[in-house]
Amino acid sequence: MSGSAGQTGWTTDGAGSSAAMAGGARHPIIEFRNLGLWYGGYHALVDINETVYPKDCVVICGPSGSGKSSLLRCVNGLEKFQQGDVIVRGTSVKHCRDLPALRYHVGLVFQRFELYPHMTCLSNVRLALRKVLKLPRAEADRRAAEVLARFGVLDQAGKYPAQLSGGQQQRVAICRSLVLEPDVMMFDEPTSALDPEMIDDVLEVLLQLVREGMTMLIVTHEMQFARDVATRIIFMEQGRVVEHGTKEQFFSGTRNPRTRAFLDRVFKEKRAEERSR
Amino acid sequence: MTVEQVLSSLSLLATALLTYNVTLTVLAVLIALPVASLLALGRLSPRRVIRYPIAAYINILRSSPLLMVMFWVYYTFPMLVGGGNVDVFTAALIALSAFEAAYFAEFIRAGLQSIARDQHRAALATGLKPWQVSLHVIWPQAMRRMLPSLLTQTIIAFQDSTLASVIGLREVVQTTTIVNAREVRPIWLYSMLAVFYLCLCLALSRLVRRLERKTAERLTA
Repeated sequence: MSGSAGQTGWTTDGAGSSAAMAGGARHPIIEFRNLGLWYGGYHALVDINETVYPKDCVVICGPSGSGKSSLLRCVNGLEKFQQGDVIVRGTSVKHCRDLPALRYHVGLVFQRFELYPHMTCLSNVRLALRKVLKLPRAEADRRAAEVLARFGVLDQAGKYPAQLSGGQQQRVAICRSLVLEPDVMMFDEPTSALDPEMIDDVLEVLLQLVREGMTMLIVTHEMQFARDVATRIIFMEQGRVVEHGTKEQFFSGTRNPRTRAFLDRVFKEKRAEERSR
Repeated sequence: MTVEQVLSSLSLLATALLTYNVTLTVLAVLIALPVASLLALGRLSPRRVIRYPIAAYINILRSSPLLMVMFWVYYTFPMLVGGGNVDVFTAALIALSAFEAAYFAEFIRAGLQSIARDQHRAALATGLKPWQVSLHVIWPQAMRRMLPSLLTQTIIAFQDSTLASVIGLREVVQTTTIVNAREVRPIWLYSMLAVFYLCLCLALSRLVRRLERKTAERLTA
């Protein structure tokens, strides 16, 4: 796997975008209702109102510190917000009495993988199957092996995370979430900690998920990837959603000068990076 | 010094070392570890009523000399609770346990805090309950990281156990003094004591070094 995502050009067989057009009586899977979050006196998220439907692939972008990661963490109640609510699969996160039960329906993948370093990859993937779903060991092993095989890391099952490359670690981390068969997968800059040659490796996995019709929320700076696979794009700045819409609206017709400036900067960096290679 | 004299002094010293110093250290560590774990958790508690008194305990003990703590437990404490005697071994054990617990607590707290926030989050995100996250994800990692410092502190506790001689425990230093009163061979006897300690502590620190290397290999790469 060589070259950058920028050059490859990702295609989705139309799965993602057709889903967006399906319309009709679809129930939202995640609703942000006037969500507000403060860290002490710092207003981290300001009146967020967004809706995510099944099979959406929503890309969230914006400068660092704009609240993207916090937004993801509000979805599974890892962040205690002070205003509004998030409705996940019909359940209010604010009033949820059993957050663990809600959380395993929502996968979350981290920038730095966050695999458990003291466990083998297989144990990493198996832990929640055993402790949350209470599956018998043989069944848990089978399901863990299955998902590792699906993403090409079954041969790493017996190794410890530190023995794997960054790209492989991120694949295992994705497996750890996916093995629980979540309804939504959230990715918090899944490629930002990777060497360039590993990035495509992980983007390929995301693409595979989009094709399979997984509902996804992705925080990423890979704008080429966003342009190719996103059904919708949310642009955030200083805790606010500055702009949201389909990727067509976003990339071609954006009127917002700040979004324009961000895109220009990202693509300029990308081009500079490619030239330097 | 005849061979018999050497052998008999050797065996007296070794017996004292095993029955008092080793036993005292092992028991004190076994008591201090669970106590220290609770202290560490309390020190990290968001509630001030829990955090402040525990911080006070840890800071007071860590800034006191063990010698003073021993005197305090043996002489002062029984007076405060209204008479009665504590036997020497129990007093030494209480003092050493209380003292080491304060040190262990700080290592455990640092170990727990060294595990990144996102490790908690990643584990919680898979639906594990907070206590399961602690049990399966945080403590095993923290334990591996703090093991070398805990063992180093244990070696120090083993050396410090000789301080129990000042309240009259017949541990190895006291025994050496008694044997010396009979044999009058201070150079021989105290050198023998030094060699005992040197060998045991060197062996233990080599073990710590090996553990440190293994931990480093496993957790980073």
